[in-house]
Amino acid sequence: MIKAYSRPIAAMLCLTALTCWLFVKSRQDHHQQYDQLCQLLNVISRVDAEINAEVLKLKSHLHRNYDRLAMLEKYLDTSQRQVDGYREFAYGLGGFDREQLTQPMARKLELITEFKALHAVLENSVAIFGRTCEQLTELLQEGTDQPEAIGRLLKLEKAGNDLVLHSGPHSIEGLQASIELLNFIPMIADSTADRTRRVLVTHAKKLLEAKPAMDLLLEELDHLSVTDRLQVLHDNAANTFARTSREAANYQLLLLAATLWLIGYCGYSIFSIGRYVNAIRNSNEKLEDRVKLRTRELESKTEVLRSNGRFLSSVLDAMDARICILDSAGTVNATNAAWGNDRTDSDFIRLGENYLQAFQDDHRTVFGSHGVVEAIERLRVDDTSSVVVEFGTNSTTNCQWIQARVSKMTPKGPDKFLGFVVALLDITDRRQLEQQLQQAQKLESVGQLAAGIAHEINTPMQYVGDNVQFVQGSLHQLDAILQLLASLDRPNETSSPVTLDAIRQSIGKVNLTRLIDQMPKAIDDAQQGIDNVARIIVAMKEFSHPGTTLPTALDINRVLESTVVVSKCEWKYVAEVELSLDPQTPSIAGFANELQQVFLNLVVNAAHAVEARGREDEEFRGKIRVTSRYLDDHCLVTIEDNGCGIPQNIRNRVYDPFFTTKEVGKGTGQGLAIAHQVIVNKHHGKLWLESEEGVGTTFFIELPIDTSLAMLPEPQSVSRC
Amino acid sequence: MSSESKWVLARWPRQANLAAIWLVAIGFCGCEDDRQNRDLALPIGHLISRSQPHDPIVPLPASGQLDAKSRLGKLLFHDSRLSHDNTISCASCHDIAQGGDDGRSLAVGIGGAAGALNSPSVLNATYNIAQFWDGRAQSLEDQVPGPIHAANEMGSNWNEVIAKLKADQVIHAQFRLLFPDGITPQSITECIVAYERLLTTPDAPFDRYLRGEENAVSEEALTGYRLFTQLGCAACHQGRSVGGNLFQELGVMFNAASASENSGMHSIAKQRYKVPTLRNVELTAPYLHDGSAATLEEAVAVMGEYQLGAELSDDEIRSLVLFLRSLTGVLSEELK
Repeated sequence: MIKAYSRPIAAMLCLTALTCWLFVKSRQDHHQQYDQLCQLLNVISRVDAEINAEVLKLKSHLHRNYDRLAMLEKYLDTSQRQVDGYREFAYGLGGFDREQLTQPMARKLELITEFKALHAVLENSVAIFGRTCEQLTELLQEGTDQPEAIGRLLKLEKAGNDLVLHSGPHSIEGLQASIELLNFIPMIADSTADRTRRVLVTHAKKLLEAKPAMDLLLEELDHLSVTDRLQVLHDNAANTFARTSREAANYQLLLLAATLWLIGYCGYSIFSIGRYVNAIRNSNEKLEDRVKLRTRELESKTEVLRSNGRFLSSVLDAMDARICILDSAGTVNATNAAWGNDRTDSDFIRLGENYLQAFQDDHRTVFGSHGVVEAIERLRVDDTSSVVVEFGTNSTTNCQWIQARVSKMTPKGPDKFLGFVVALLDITDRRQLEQQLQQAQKLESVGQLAAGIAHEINTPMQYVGDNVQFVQGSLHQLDAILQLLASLDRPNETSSPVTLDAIRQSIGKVNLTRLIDQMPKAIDDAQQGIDNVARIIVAMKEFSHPGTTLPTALDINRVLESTVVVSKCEWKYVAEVELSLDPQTPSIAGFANELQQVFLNLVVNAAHAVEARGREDEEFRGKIRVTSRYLDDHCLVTIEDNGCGIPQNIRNRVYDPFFTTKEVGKGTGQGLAIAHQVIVNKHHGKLWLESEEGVGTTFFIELPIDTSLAMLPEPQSVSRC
Repeated sequence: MSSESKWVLARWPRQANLAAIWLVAIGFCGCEDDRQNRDLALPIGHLISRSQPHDPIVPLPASGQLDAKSRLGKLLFHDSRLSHDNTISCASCHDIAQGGDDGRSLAVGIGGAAGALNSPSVLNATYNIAQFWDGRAQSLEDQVPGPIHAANEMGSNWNEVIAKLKADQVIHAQFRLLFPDGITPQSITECIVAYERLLTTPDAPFDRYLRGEENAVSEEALTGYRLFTQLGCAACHQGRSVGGNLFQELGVMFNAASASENSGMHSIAKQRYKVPTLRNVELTAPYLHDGSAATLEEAVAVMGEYQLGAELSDDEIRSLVLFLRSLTGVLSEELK
């Protein structure tokens, strides 16, 4: 806008400057100077005339002192110098040389000075000449009569007067001649007369000298025309004045034009500015409209976003999971309603809190776990996009299992990491269900085993019963003998006397030798059977124990043995089990119950696989081989069978929950899923298999010796459930 | 006439234009011409209108009163700081009380330096056509710097004088009161000249006689006056100052052949000097430009011989001297 105005403004400034310049030029007014110069020239002219008149007056003895002439002289001198003050103006046209005025004036002043000196001398000489002539004549007349001398004197006087009155060469010669004559007058003895004659001669000579000089001087004075020069100067000044006046008038006309132009231009500029202002106003209105439109759009978009936000937050709020969003530095940015809105709640997480505070604070009993913190730390360094941890809480009132899922928030691509989403899900119910399911599966296993186990128990119990019956019968047979034997200790009794014969007779009725031989054996067998049953029952009891939440030190070999015992009914008829246990294997920390279930599942699976193969091949003799080996930092358990193997196409699905190949009602599909969960998640071990269809399957279980306690709740936070 | 008509023609459009551009003129009214009509300083009408007596000798007008400037001028006139060694003031050679000169044949400057000429009187110098014996200064203003700078007179210069005067707080303050520029050559000159203009001696007995006071002068003095005019003395010594308004050759009637042997005027003969005033002449001995005439009688005799070509008798000389003594005027006490 400034740029748009700079040109008109510059033009206006130029125009104003032009107007000012014209104004100054039009103000160049010389009439006053001209008036003054005219006045001055008049004065000079008058003084000049006065001087001429004064000279005449002095000459004619009207004036007898030079005061006035001296004063006029001074005025002439002063006014001549004043003319110089008007030099520029008066000589403006250049036609007039200052010398032309000043030179005659200076000359005039010189001549006047000269005139005064000469006039004084001449007048004196004239006066004295006349007077001495008279004196001398008187003296001569008084003395001896000297007519010739008187005549000469008279002639001298006449010649002198002639010179004074009619100056000219003739008069000069006449006076010269008369002076010569007078010098030759035979001189009178009278000293007075002689003195008078000397004076007369002196002044006559002076007259002769001064008179022509005076004539010349006066002639020059007459011809010295100052007035003409003054007239020329005056005309020059008038011309200059007329010219400058014309110029000034022209400038005034130009000034008028420039002023009108300026006013017009100002008007036009004001008009233009008005137009600019209108244009600006219009564009401003348009801009405002556009801004309004844009604002409305933005508002509607904002409304959409807001409703999206509300939608999202209501979705988030509706969720059970406690969700909290952290920025990349770990500061809590947002939480959902599941966190609870009550600020007094100890679980309440304030916005702006750091995740360390939020999740590591011991007073936050519900979330007081390092699991979330560790997950966040791990996400920070790892490439993984999310981590799931599960942990139990140590709340004193109720126990909870929490699953924390920590994800990186990368809405703008994997590289642009904005923060974390921490979702805490209460999985207590699931945990309980899982536990129940696990228990159910265990019971299922137990159920499956029950028939076999019943048989296992039945067999010993049968022969225990038989043996007990035999012992009972034997004892019954021995009863008469024993009674007799007992009466031997009481001879005073009135009953029939016991005789040896009677005893013999009784013995004879009984195969006592066989009894004595058989009875301990029968009892031993029964004892053995009872032991077997007891062993089975102990294994069962162990197996069906709900287990502990704490890892305990356990002997892996013993677990394997017990498993094999429990599952005997499953494999007894289809395979033989080979146990190859490494006695070096140390205790490991773990959950015996759960490991036992895993091993059982694997052994049962192996038995089933062997059985399946055995159904196809009569000659097949199944074999299951269970080994344990101690390696550097872990223990490797293998369960190998030569059963039908796992088909290639389902090999990667075997760990899926509810996946089973068995007919409906026989398997729940939980076995391997639980095995995987227990080995990998709970014991941080590894589970893998090698299988070949028709050749067999081998499951490998690798358990770390120092199965870490860190994967489990810390001792103090372990709930009592 | 032609210039007049041009002037009128030139004036006409000015009025019309001025009327038309009054709007602009309002903007520039600050530029309005304020020049005053310049004072021409030529009271010629005054001079012409007052008729003056045409006699050879006319009385002096009354003298003025001291004012601030002339009072300061009087101080400066008597201030020896105007000379280089603070020994000589204007009044050293121009003693106001002693007829305005020093009573010496030739002037004496700083350190006893001898001048070439007799000091002329400062009294009535304002009526002189020019200043100095040879009239080289056109006015009193031109004359003031002369003696101050002359090596054999005051031997100083303006810078020195101003520095000395500025050191004097009283003088400096007085100057600052009178002149916006303070002490300058111009202001010093102006003060001294203002004082010198007042140094006139009106009311001499002969002036009183001329004004009609019959008994103001003696009969013999009147005889002297008649001789003064008849002999031709009044041809040069005339006017208000009885001299001082023209230049004359010294030795107009001098003839080398007839010159008196005892005259000391050989050297200066035929030179032109300003004719000195004869007012207060009885107070300004010795006489002549070189102070060669010790008494008035001697001077009268020399002048008679050299200027008039007349040998004056003793009676004539006595009468003339009596007349000359009647030209001694009155200087007011405050000026001394």
